[in-house]
Amino acid sequence: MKKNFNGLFRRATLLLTAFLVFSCSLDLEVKDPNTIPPPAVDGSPTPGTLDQVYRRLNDLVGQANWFAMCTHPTDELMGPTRGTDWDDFGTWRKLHLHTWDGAHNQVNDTWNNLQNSLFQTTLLAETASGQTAAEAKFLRAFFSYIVVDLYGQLQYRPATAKILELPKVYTRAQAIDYIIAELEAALPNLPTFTGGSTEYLATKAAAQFLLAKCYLNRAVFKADPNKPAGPYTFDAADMNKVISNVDAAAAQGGLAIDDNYWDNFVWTNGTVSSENIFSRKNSDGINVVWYTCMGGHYNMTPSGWNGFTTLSDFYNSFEASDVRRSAPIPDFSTQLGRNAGFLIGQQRGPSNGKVGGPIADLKDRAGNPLVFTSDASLFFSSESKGIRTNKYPLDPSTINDGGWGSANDFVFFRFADLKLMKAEAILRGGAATGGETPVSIVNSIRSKRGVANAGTVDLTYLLAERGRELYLEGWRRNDMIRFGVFNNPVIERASTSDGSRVVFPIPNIALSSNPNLKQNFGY
Amino acid sequence: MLLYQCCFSLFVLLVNITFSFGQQIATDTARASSFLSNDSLVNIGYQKISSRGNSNSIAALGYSDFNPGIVSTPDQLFHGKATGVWVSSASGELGANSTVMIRGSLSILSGSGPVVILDGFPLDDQEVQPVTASSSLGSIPSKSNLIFLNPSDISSITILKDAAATSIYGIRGGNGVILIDTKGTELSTKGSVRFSSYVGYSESAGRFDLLDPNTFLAGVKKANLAAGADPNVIDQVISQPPINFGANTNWQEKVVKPTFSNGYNLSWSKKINQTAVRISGGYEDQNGIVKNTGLGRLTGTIFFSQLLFQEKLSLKVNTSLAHLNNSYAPISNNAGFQGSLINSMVYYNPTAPVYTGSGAFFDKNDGSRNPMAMLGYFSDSDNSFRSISMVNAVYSLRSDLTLSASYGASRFSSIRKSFADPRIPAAWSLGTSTVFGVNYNNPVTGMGRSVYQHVNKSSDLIDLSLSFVKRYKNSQLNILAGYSLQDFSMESYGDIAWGLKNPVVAPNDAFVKDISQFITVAPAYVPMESQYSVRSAYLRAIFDVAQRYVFSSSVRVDQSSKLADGMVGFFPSLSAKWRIVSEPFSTTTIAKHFSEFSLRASWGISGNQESLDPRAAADLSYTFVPFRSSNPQTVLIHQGNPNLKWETIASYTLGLDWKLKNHWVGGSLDYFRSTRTDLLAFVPYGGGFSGGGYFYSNLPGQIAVEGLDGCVEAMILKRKNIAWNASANAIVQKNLVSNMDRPISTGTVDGGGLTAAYAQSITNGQPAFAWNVATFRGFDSNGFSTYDAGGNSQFNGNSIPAFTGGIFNQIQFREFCFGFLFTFSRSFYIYNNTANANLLAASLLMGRNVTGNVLKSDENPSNPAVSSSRFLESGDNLRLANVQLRYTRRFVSMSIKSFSIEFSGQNLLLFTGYSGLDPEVNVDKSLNNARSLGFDYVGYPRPRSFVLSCNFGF
Repeated sequence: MKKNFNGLFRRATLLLTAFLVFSCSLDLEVKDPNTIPPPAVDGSPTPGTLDQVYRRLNDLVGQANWFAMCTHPTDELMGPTRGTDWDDFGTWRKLHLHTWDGAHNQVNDTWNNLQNSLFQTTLLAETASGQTAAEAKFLRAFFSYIVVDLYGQLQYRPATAKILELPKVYTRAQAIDYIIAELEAALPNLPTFTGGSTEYLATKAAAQFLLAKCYLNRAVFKADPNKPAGPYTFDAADMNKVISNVDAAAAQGGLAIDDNYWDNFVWTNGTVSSENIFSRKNSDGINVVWYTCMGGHYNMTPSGWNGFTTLSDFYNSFEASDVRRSAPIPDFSTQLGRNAGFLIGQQRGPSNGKVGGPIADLKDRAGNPLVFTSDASLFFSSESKGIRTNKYPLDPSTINDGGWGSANDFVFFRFADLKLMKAEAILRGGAATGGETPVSIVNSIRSKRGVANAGTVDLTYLLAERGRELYLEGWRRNDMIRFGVFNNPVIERASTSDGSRVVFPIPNIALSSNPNLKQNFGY
Repeated sequence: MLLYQCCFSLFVLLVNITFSFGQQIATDTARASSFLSNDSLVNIGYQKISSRGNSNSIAALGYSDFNPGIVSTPDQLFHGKATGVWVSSASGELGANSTVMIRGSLSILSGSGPVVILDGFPLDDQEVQPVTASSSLGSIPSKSNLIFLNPSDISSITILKDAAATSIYGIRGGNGVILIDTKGTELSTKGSVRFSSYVGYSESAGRFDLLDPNTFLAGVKKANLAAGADPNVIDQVISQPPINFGANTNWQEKVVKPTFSNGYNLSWSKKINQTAVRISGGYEDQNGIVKNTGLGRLTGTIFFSQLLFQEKLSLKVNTSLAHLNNSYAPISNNAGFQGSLINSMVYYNPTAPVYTGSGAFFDKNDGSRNPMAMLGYFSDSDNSFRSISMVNAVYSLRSDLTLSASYGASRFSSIRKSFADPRIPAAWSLGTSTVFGVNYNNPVTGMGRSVYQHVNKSSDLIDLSLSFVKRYKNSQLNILAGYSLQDFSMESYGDIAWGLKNPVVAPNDAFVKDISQFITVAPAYVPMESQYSVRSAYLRAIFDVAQRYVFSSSVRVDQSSKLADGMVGFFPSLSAKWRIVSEPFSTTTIAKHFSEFSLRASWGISGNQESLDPRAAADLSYTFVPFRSSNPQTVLIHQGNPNLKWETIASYTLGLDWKLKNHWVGGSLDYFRSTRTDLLAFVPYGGGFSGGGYFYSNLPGQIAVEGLDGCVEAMILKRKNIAWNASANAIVQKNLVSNMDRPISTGTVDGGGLTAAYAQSITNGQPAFAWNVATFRGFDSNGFSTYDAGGNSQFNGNSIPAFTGGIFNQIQFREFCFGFLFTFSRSFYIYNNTANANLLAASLLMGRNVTGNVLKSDENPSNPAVSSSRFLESGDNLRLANVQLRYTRRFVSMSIKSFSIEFSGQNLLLFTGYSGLDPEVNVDKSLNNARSLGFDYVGYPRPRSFVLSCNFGF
């Protein structure tokens, strides 16, 4: 019995052992065809392609996040709650009232999108060479500028570092010099702007435009972090840098103030505009349907979301003849019953909701006449309250299918802004060049906009002109801060807000995950 | 492939070795759970032991304990009957996912729940069917991964309830373990042929009290006047479109309709000498109460067992096959202002007709969706096949030593096909499709769309163990040592198509449901493949001394390729039981009155890695050639966490089991406490500086749960012709979060104007998943909401019921058996997101329908739809969950041996103050992979069902 057991036991043990050895030799590694091979060695991630890095710009195109944070806190836009619509956890209201905090969803989401962009541009900027690296550096500088402008702190981690290594943090004052240095280093390797498809690329003109922005705002970014709202002291040397960069950019690719303001925004803007320096091509994964829909009423064509409105004071800063306020667009206005620009009063449009249908007075959802009023309440607005905007008119032939096919490019940098920066730099102590003065620059634009020339141009006038020329293009917040009026009361925000509001807080989630970040002053 | 060869060679080897089989396993445990019966066997994982010798916390149910009725998933079988186990199905949909919470403890990560072990085979933790995300419809969730089991093939379900009991499953046991055994593994000595069939009738158990056209028009008038409309024209406004379209349509009756289901099962089993065989087949056609929804299930099982070589070798083969066909309605869990089907059903204008004069679907052209058009213009269904096979050989080396080897394989493939018709109005704005970041400007309107999604999965298991059982007088030592290796792989890919070759325009053109009829077919998303494996060794010793003391200890060592390299988990447990009733000193005291009186104590640690992405620890990119391109692209999918480890759950339990001497009443009572640490969560990288945004990480802090659970079972009456049994079970628990380094927000509130709102939080000092919303303080004199604390979010109660349980009664009278089950849940709140999105005075203002109580409220029609405690409602409820009346007749010497006919009803009565359809609801509103609990949002309505079934035994 004993012997028998031993024999059996030995056999079983051998079998078990053989089996265990065999099983253990099976590959327990993650045999994943998708895994990037090197991270186990040094933990550094692999960069994407240049095309993918440009695609990060798509995050900026939409009614929420970056766009909303640059528009709703200013005097050009607000998002009223309309009964069951548009409360959205107070996200729009808090932007207009300057009552956001580190838990605000758009403050958080925009941060995350931008950090993703910084991360991806860094990988390519620091591992590629030549023009590719230069383009990636330009893009990183653009995203960095936005981050520093919004949040006042810039995270940085080299491309070769491990993903779990905490990024180090530049202060606002350090960051602006870093961005300028990066742009100047990239400049020689960037292509020259020659119009056409170069407006979708990081060109020398685009980099010089951004350099001009940096120098123009450098005083803002260099301000005491505990007094972020200024007053600011603009350095004449910085202003001369603005002017030299503007002049260098303006000399490229036939840039000129367009005879027709709306050429810059219509669905053929990729070819007809003579002002667009840097834009995102429509077919590269973006559309501008949101631009029409964010204010358009449900019963308009295409059916809108009945959201945001322009403040009446802002609307009233335009003269009646100003084509930027309202102008018919050939093909568009006849079929849609509305102009480009601001929409106010009784709205008209295809009565059946389709392009090609008879144009008639529109009604609201309850059947009352759809009359957009100049007033709107941030908390309690009915359907037709407030002035709406139609800045990127959609191609009528695409509208019956939702407008998704309309080929409008989304513009980031425009020539008119470039020239207005020069005017401002001269007003702030820079030396005029090429015989241009603030008045001559402003009038070179106004003369194409259906309004009389300005007699004199001071900073107050220039801010208003920038508003009229560049409304809802993403610069208003930046401008109002630089001109020291960002915290002033506006319609539906009756009191002056705290100076700390000129920078947004670091989102709570980011703050808890990187101890190198410190919450901004006042939050 | 290597794995197969390995197993089969092993298998062949084993077959050639002699052997015998432990006697315990042959015993029938069909009545294992019946507490009042004498000692029985319980499955404690990897082995079955006498319930007297079990010192752990276990809920066991046998076939006769299962709930009757139309059963789509096995959790419905034990709902309300397993002590300490709370089951909440997502909705009333057939096969809907359920949250099974054992002793009040759950991971933060969504999708993680108890691991299910089917006849020894651990099932994959991930969702099975693909999820459809049809653009602005929101995502239509997939169903439970247990939908493949035919309930009539299940013989017993055992739930291991705490970390001491589950530590034998180590890294997978942290949220509890559900052991499901199918029939055949416990084949009785006599063979039989059984046939059963049922026909069921289902109707909606609850209805929205929506306004009829006249009341609706009066409501719209009132709301508009209150909002300042011109009183002189208001009557004209409400007499014409877009308010009054002149028809009278009860949308709820159009969408939700009573239906019939039916099912058939046939089984044959035979035992001749040392060979036992069972073969069964089943077909069910379950129809949902929402139009276009259903579940067709075709199942088959084959069980074969053979004893060889003087009964020293036992060989078993167990195969189950299932083919499933699900059809879905466009009911999503996160629709925005346009809503999913149930949203539209609630708000759509009751004066609107279904069709226009030309026969086309009526459309208001304001972006809102005609519910019947949604049903008519969308089609969504899947076809899935799953097989699970286990081959098991048990070989007796000696009377006290057995070697067991198992090989298991599961294979799954599924295709989900969805179609949208090109006649969908442009105002529905379903958007264009972005394929790998490129927008193809392909709106659904005019082009139509089809999405095919494929998922293939497989898993292989090798389990090898050695068991030693030695008896010394009335003591016994039982040692089990084992090794297992399980491998999982998954691939998914899909196509999207647009542009119909033959356009459909006219109202009576057929809806094309064939992807080959589309002009453009492109890959829908980046194809994914993944694979992971878990390698384990386990050891358990149970020492039963003099039938008085039981000491049990186990250790499991696990390594999972989901986690960081070199992470080896060590999961110990210790438990003891003192059977006081068997002590000599108690003969004159306790043993005089009790036949059972034992104290139990247990402690253990188990882990959780369920629902983690298999590649969570690794960086992941994918290289592919995009559609209409020749350049390969690499997409960064995510970046991994090289420090990732499992979540740790430690628990201890003190328990008392008792039974009176005459066996008429007995019960058990347990105090438990569990602590969850190394909390798995999906969190941002440092400062958000990454390409992936979020990654899986272990957070500091803990979630502690403590409470009591217990049951009482009594034989109230026992006479010659009549017997009355009653049982009750309940759990009381509370849980608390502490020491976390950050709060985690979850529970997105959806609906028009509710973007970015969330209502739930996992925060220090609060119960997990506590409600965190603004505190509503009623309407002011103008009908506007007022809030505490300036409208900032505050903690507003618990989403996990503090007190739940079930009460069951069964009365046997001659051949008749009558049973009924009540279930209850108390002290928790439901977020009525349906009301937050729809049932507001402002809805009337814009011509949307509401329920009667909105008309009665003082709310101003301009009051914003802010998410707040206004929509938190007590979910306290008592439900008559099922009733069953059965007549059984047995025959001697006839070809029919037995016959029974049964009438049962499910979800018959509900007592609750909750204003929504049903407080047992748990629509998935997870945020950043953090689960939500207790949300009601336009989910699939819960049915009430009646079933007539008959069984024949031959």
